[in-house]
Amino acid sequence: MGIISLEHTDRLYWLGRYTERVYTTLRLYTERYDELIDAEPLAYQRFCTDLDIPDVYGSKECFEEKYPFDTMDPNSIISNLNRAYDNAVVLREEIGSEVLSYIQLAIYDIQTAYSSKDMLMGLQEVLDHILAFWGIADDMIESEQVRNIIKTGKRIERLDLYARLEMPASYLIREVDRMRFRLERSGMDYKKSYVEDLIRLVKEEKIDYYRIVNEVETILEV
Amino acid sequence: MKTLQFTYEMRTGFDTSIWDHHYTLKCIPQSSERQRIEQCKFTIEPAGSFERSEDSFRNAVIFGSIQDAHDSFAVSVCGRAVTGLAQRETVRDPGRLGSFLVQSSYTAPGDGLKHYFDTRLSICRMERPYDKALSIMENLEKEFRYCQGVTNVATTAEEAWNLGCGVCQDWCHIMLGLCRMAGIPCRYVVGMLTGEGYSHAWVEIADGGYWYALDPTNHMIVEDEHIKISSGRDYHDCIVTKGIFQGSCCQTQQVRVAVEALTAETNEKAETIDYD
Amino acid sequence: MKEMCDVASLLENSGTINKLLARYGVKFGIYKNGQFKEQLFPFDAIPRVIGHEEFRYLEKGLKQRVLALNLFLRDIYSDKKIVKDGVIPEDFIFASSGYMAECEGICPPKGIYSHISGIDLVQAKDKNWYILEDNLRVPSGASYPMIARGLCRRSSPGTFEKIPVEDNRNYAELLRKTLDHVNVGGHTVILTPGRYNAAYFEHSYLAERTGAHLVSGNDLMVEGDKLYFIDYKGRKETVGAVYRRISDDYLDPMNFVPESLIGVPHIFDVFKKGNVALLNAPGNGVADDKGIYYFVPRMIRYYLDEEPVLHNAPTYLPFYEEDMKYTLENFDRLVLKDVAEAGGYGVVFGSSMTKQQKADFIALLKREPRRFIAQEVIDFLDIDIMENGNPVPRKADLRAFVLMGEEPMVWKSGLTRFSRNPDSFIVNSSQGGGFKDTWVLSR
Repeated sequence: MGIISLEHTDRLYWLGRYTERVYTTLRLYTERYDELIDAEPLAYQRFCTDLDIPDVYGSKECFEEKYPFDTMDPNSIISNLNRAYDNAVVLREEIGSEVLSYIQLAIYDIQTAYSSKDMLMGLQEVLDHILAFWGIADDMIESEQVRNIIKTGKRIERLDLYARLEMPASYLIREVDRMRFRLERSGMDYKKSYVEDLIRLVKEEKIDYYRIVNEVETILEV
Repeated sequence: MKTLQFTYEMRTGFDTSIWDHHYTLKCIPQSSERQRIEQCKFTIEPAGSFERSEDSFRNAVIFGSIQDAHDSFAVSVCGRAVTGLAQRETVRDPGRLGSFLVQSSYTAPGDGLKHYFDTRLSICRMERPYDKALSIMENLEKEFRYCQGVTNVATTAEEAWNLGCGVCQDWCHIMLGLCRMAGIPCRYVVGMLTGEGYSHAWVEIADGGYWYALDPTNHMIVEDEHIKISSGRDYHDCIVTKGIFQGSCCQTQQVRVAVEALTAETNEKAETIDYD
Repeated sequence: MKEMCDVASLLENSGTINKLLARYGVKFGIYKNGQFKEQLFPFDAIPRVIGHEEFRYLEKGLKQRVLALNLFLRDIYSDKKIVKDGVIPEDFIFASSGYMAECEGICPPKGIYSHISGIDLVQAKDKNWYILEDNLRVPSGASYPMIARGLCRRSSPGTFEKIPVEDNRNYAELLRKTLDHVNVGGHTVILTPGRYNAAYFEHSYLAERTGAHLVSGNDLMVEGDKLYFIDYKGRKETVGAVYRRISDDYLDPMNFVPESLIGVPHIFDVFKKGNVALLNAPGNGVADDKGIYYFVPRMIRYYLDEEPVLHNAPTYLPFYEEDMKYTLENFDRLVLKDVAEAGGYGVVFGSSMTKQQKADFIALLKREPRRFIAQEVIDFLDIDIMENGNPVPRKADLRAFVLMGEEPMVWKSGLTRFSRNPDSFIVNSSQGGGFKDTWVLSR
């Protein structure tokens, strides 16, 4: 077969991006949750600044609840997970029911986590199912092209997030490399010069994070 | 019998470019028992890719699409028609006549037309459907006026009836509605009429295995001044140009129809030119 | 009753099965107050069991019916012999909202009109089966028992070890065969109106299982007189068969409803030229009209020269004077159906009307006799469902699926739908209710 529509290519790519966004932000949230316990009340604002999202929370308590669970907040984890689902649900025949079911499970997990007392344990299950999704996607999706497009999304999102979070060069070097590898295999059109740029940028002494984010965001705009 | 030189030109201009444009045209007259079409030339600009086909009413159809951006669309058909070859045309699918008895959303009568049909028309004593139809046409002239700009392409027979006036499309829909109430199978016809102007519409009614053409707008029996392009149950089946496209724009459409009778002399001259 | 014993483990695992169904997103979309919601389609673990011999009888009758309906459609859009021979009055053809003049003269690939037919039946208390209606346009529902079966087997293997049940997971294979049989050359696609359609789960699941591409209107385009699938590089791939889950009206904005954004412009023109198969063919609505239903037994006799194996529910056409008389005399025990409505709407019971409603209805009936059919109310054989751990009887119907390849094939299962409301006769899933698996015993 091996023919994929433009719409599905786009969906596969964003499925990769949103699952990655949920995964990385969720891990970050768990880490910060720990730091916030004995920090000053407004320390959560750094999280917003780092991720480049507006502080619509006002207090630590509000942040701790709304950031993972508020469906009205477009930057919340649940909103990103819902977007991952919206993309996945129209890809059943590309990725398979089995693979799709792990996104569905993550949706149920986050809904359960919100209504349960043990919120962190619930969120851990979301994380587990996202990881399971990646594992099974790798294992069960027959089409290499489909896998590569999802992973391109994942790698682009990862680099994007790491650059926003101003992670150290060693992380970025690795992520640029992984992204390049997937892009080359995805069959999608992309700006080859940006890849060269990025390889150089992450190795510079003073890393221009802003420029990295910009180039990553527009690398597919051919 | 007449030989008519005809030209149909349609030009649509778009104030900003459009693309992914799909069109369907029913603008090419066909030869029949009544008319013979000769030297018919047809152009579309820009053409894109198109195909010829036939719809279920046996009308000639051109369907195509233009993917690239463009800001105008023009169609022209010209040729010669020998008209008035016969007074009537054989019904080719008698088994389908029943479908021309069913009222459509355009022709379905409301209270106004029903009341008129029940109280003012007295055609039940007539025997032949043709006589009934003729009587419906004659009576309609007394009740309805020709008037432009009052109705539009979406106006139904009942709406036009209540307004009391309309254009050829409205005359036809009312006539069809009344004929169908009287149990006469009948159809809508689009074509061209001698002179200059727009395309025209009239009706055909079935009687004894033949279609007879009547032009209610001009209160006349169609003989050799009309060139038929297409027919169907109502206006909707005979839309000359239909299109959908991407892009937001204002469009302006110009239609020019010219039909001129050729005398024996001009006839020959035309032929000479053609052989060059 | 030995079966009931073996089914016990299945009932115990009912919760597990529903959980698994949720996991795989077995959902039904509905609109509530203008908002789209996905709802789980509740599954009841007590299966409907149809014996081996009994199913052979149903199979014979269903094949016969679908063959006749296909011959009828072919006839109606060409010679109309059945009308000429006076078997069906032409009024019932031409005035039917399902009759499409646009389809006159078209012969679809291999002459098949209804490739996938959903025939709704009920079993009465006297154990007789009656046909309730034919669905020849876009019948849905096969995916639900198909996915449920695998999950039931996973959670209660013992049950299936003991009871010889025909495997129903071959539906995709039958469907693929049906699609390939009429494919005129090129890819096979399933055309969906999109994820906000009630049956989107089914569209995507059948695409996965048949290996067909799931596409929306935007992915397809007509160029010249061919239909193409456009891939992400803009390459064109010819499409030879479209299993479309879009109604006729919205299929092609150039030929039908011009406002349709989910269709493909000119797809009907390509179909007309014989360059693509559409499943099911446009125009089928003329054969599953409630008015035409009355004539199906006559069709079987007319086209096949056979006696109908399966019976209609006793039906009267007030269009005929004799039937009008019967309808008025027996009004209180009949059910009246508006031929133009579907999905359980436009159905009224004579017994449940007030005096005034009844008078109004009779006036309407006399004014528009062609618009209604009257039927005897069938005393349904109830089927048990589990409610709070106890079996309770409920009304249920059976949608059998008949696929038309080289030969008609009856799927050895079906969708059994039940109403949750004990007083309701309406089992349509768009009005609530759940489903059961349908077991056909292999011995």
